[in-house]
Amino acid sequence: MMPEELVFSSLRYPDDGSVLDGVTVAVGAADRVAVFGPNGAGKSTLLRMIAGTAPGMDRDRRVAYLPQSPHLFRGTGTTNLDLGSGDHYRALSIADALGVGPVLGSDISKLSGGERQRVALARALSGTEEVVALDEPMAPIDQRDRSLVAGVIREATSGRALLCVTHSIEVAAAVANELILMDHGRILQRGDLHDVLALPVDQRASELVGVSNVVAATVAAHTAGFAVVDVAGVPLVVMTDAAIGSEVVLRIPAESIAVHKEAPEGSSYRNVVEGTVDNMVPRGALVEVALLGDPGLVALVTPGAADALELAVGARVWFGVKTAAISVIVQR
Amino acid sequence: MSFISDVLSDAWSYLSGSGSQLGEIVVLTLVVSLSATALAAVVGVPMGVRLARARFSGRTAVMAIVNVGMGIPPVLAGLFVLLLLWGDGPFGSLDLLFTPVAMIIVQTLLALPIAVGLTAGAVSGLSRSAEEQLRALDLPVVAETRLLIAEVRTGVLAAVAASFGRVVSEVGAVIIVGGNIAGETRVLTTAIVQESRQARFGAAVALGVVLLGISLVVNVGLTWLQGWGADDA
Repeated sequence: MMPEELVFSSLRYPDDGSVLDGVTVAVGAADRVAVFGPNGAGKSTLLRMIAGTAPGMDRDRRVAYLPQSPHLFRGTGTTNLDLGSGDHYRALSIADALGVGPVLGSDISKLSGGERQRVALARALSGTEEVVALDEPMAPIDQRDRSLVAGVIREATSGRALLCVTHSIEVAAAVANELILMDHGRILQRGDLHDVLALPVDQRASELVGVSNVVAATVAAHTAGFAVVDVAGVPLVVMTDAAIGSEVVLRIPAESIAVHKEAPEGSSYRNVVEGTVDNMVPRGALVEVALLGDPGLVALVTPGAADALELAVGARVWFGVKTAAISVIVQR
Repeated sequence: MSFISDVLSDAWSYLSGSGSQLGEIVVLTLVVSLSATALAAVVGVPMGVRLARARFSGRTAVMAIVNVGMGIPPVLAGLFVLLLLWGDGPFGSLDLLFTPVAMIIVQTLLALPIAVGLTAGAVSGLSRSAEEQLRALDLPVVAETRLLIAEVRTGVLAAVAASFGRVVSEVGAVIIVGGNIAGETRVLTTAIVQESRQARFGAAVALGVVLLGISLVVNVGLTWLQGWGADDA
């Protein structure tokens, strides 16, 4: 049984020469944490520290670990799966779920990059380690397969702690509910994924995550390749083939939202959300405009546009959101 | 030119007429060299893998010993084994001196550092991602060793080929511990020395041709294995 939480700290290795600047991470039994940050932030180093694969460290056997560039050894997919710590049949079923069941008998030289990644991922997920640490598991996976792979990751790590390094908010949201924001070898912020995205702790954190709307929705209907989802009572047209009734999470970058002072007519927007301005705050050179109530969308406009639109707290506005600007993450 | 043509003609008649004597020499050469190579490979290849992977104090010293061993003069190895197996020496009671067993022992000692050193070199050349993956998998020592032998199979076969090349061409050590006794411990290299010293150049050339042939066949075989291994890399 896993104790309440495991604590990993780079302070135990003060002279490791790594980029980490005294980072400590506590991982609870069923935490699902995405580690997000720019290149060179120390995300992979953090994961190596947690797995104990950095030079001079002892491998921590409580942690399953998928390196950023996983390696398959000579042989077939199956011989590589069997190198994992997990049960053979569990590894096979995970590989099956990831869609590489049919190619497991092939020599690894015959596999594509995406197939190799899935075999390596199945190998890393097949064990029973208390913590599963995945470094960019989705990087070589095609966009269209990511929700499937995310589902398998969630399923295979259920009841265990998950740490997933990614530089994609979509991937983070698809596998995790907590976010660790890293920059320059330090943790800038850790918290609920939606909270960190909605309320970055400082200017740097805000630059890293961008200003975006991350909202939960339910698929209500399908029309000709598009779906109508319900966001707190507001219908939005998005691109997804998720089944009716399924819960999804939407991400709408704030700069992709157009603001109007009258209901737009004859525009290309499939989605127009009417509301009252709740708040206006400067974000660098731009102004963040937040709507009152649910879904409480925010938009970024230039100060000039804000003046032209006579935007002020309490003003009536219409937010135009292009369907193509909304990313959909299938959830649970 | 008549000298050279006489030698070649003598060589030809030696090859076509010498029968069982040549057969015995060839068989003993193969038995001694292949046994020594096999022993060195079975012991040395896993040792090489572990030496490349393990981190222990004194590792640098061990690497230095291996590197020196790879180039040690065979006569010194022969002298060392001679002293060990001599009647009054520590293993004299085993009565192994001037037997094929003594020759296999000394050749194994000569081949071992090559098998160890070249295998360690091949494993050290693994990509960083393979290294990281090995640490991630954290396999038991035996499983990891087997995995790595298969992974660097091409390098391992090169190590085996080099080991064989060292022992099959070697004369100084086997002549010291074997004694070049006709019908007992005479191999191709020592026979060539013998025939040359007695100015029977035709026989010497003939034995040389056979030695070259054996070397060629074994190395072609190993190269074929390498290519076969590389196909599915």
